[in-house]
Amino acid sequence: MNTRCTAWEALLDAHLGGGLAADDAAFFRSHAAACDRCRDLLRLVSADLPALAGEEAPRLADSVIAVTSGPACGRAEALLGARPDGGLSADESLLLQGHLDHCRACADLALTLESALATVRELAEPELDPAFTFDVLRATSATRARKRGGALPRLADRFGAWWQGQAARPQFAWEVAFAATVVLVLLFGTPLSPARRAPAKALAAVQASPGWMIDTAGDLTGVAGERIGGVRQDVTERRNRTAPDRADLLRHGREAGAALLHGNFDTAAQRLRAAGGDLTRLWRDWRDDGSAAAD
Amino acid sequence: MDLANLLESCRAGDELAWEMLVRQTQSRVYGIAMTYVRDRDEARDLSQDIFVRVYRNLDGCKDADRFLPWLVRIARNACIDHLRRRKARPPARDIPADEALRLVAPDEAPDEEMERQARRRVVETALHSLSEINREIILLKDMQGLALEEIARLLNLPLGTVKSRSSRARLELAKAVQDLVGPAGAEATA
Ligand SMILES: [Zn+2]
Ligand SMILES: [Zn+2]
Repeated sequence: MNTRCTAWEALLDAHLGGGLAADDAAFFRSHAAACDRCRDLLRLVSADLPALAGEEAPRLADSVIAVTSGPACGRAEALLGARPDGGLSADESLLLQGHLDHCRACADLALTLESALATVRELAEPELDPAFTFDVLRATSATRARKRGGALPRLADRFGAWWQGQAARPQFAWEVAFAATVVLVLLFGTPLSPARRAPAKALAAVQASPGWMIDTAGDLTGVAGERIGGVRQDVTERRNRTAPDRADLLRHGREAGAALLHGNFDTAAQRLRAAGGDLTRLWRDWRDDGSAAAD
Repeated sequence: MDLANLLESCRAGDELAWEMLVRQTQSRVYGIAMTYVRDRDEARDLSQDIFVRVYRNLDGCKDADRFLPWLVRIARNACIDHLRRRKARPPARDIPADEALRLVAPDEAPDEEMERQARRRVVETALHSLSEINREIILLKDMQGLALEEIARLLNLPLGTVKSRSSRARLELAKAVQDLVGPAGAEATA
């Protein structure tokens, strides 16, 4: 910038107003042609606003925002997070969309959020194996039986009916294994069950015939059902104490049963040993209330 | 059969009605359990315990319109009890994030299915990186679709707190996903 530039700037207003004298106009044009700085300035001040908006406006908006409110991303994120709750006003939605159209980072975040929430909804109802419902019905009918204190013959009836109904289904093999495990737990996971020689009985239960399992389950839960009434509190404590053991037993028994049914004897033997360990632990935890004086 | 009749029959002791109710809600209950314990077997056993509780408390749900929040409440309490009891025992192995990303579906699964499973694992991992309260709010609001008012009642928090937490929890989830897989734009153009 030199004195010529200063002189040129002094003429700028007159030029924009259209009132430049001929001599001055000649100087004004020739300096603008020769001087980059003044030519840019001229272009800037005389440009149409729409033309300017195309190229310069976004950067202009950024710099305006930068010196006024700071980046709007924080506010956009807050609206993004609140949007799925449906609490955004029409104006807020509009403002948010305006920001997303121009901010890559927030647009990415919006996309990720949308996809993550869709996946979260998918996770709401994961698939379960077909035996689950049966498992629940067994557990709740045991509850009912206990509630009624001794109405156990029905349990065996229903188990038998279930057995016949299920025998035709493809999942049957798997469920047989599972049923064997359920009996295991009924045998050794219920109070007062005579489980001193637990591992041997576990093996017998898994290998036993359906009829044997039905009878045994009915008998033993019947005995337990009759005697539970008076010691409910104690039983609840014991059940809580042994819950983890029973979970382990259930898992190992299930695996053992499945392996047996597939003729996979090595695996079955291994799982049964594990189940035996679980049973021993279960029995110990059932009898021992943790205070060393017990027993 | 609508839910009100189904519940009425369950309360009257109809086993078939109870079976139907279990079938209709078991996946949802399992989904809740899975957000508290990530181990499938453990979640399965826990789901069974939840149904035993539901069964014992059927009389406590008089209003069919409020069945879902009621069910979620029971499930949540059971999960929390379970975690409390489990504290004494070694926790189930948590899958590290990068390992979770490498786990893929069996070979025969079509690409789309593999992609879906990979996406689920990423979101599961991201969910478990959140704080307990944020994970619960996403579970209740975005997964189970409870109303904010229900959640406020359930968690015993002011509605405004639930609202702002729900918003923040979602952002945290999205950012945790981005930390695992990079921004969505990068994924789309890759
Ligand atoms: Zn100049
Ligand atoms: Zn932004």
